[in-house]
Amino acid sequence: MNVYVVDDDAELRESLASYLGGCGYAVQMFASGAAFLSVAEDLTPGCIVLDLRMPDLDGLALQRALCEMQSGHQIVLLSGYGEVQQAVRAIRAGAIDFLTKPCPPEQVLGAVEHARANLAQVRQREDAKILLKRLTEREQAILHASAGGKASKQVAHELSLSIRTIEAHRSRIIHKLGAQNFAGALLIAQGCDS
Amino acid sequence: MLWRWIYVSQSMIGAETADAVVARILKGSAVNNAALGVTGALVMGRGRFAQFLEGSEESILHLKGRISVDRRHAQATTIEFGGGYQARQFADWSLAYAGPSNFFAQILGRVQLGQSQQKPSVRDDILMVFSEFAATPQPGSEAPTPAKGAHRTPRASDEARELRN
Ligand SMILES: Cc1cc2nc3c(=O)[nH]c(=O)nc-3n(C[C@H](O)[C@H](O)[C@H](O)COP(=O)(O)O)c2cc1C
Repeated sequence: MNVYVVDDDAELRESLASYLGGCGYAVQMFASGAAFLSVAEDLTPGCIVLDLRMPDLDGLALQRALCEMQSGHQIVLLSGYGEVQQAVRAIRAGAIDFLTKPCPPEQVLGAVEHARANLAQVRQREDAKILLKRLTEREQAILHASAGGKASKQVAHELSLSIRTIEAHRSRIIHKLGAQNFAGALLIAQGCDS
Repeated sequence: MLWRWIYVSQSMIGAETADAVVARILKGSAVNNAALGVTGALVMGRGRFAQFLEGSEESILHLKGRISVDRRHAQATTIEFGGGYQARQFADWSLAYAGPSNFFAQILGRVQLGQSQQKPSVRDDILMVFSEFAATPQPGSEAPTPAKGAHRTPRASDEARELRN
């Protein structure tokens, strides 16, 4: 995963970048919120380690801008003081965490790892959505009605279709979703819901 | 006049079952609190709970009695308790946050469980967290509506997602 360190304090920026780089992340540095925002759309969704207090565009303003453009970036905020109000706002708006400087690098790493897990989850959900779009409305209805592993017989009854029709649809669903079996197809549908 | 009870406690729920247990607490609370006219919020961070409850004297006393003896947590430590409030802070009752953040873990972690007095800064931070939660709308309420043809069961999975995030 890519990590973007955005901080106007050069020393902190570089020490964080070198630490996270040493942990195996591909790190890029930005000296201001505006510098990051100008290229944000072209960057692979990753984790932004972001200073709250910066002269031009502060951390919360950058977070808002990124939210509006649905950039998909995850955000970890750093701040010099315990700014409770801003912290709650940032986390409510989807930030992974809000860390008070000076914070041990392991704390930043922990938050970055949560960001990575979140991104993976988002990606999985998006993949599932794309797969599900391949299904016809009828197939989607059958998949939905089968949630929780309901038997064909019951689904047939609920949808007023024959068991044979349900079975035929199920094998087409398995094929279209590239699943091993129908349980696998149900898992893909579930991943999209969660 | 409204009463309030705000406390912080130690969770006794094992990590493996936390999601399911908390979901059960939330489900029961949603029904009970609505019936009692109680609003507020629950915050969960790394093994601690913080809860804000507001309502009539009778219902707050009733819930305080029940929640205090619930074995799923321990050392429910009062941050604020009493009456005389003119207006509600919360429009409804909800899970405000459950997640792994250091931020909430630190704020809840500074409370000295079992002590009747907390440092003013510790108390203020807890109160500030709740007033900020009360002021900002639930992220769930502005969730995108599912596309036509997409099937999902709304409440249960939304709750589960909040827990995971
Ligand atoms: C951290 C925590 C918060 C709780 N909050 C509430 C609450 O807001 N409302 C409620 O009715 N029960 C709450 N409970 C559960 C109560 O302790 C108790 O189990 C419940 O009120 C019993 O309800 P029942 O008789 O409907 O099962 C909470 C429990 C815990 C551990």
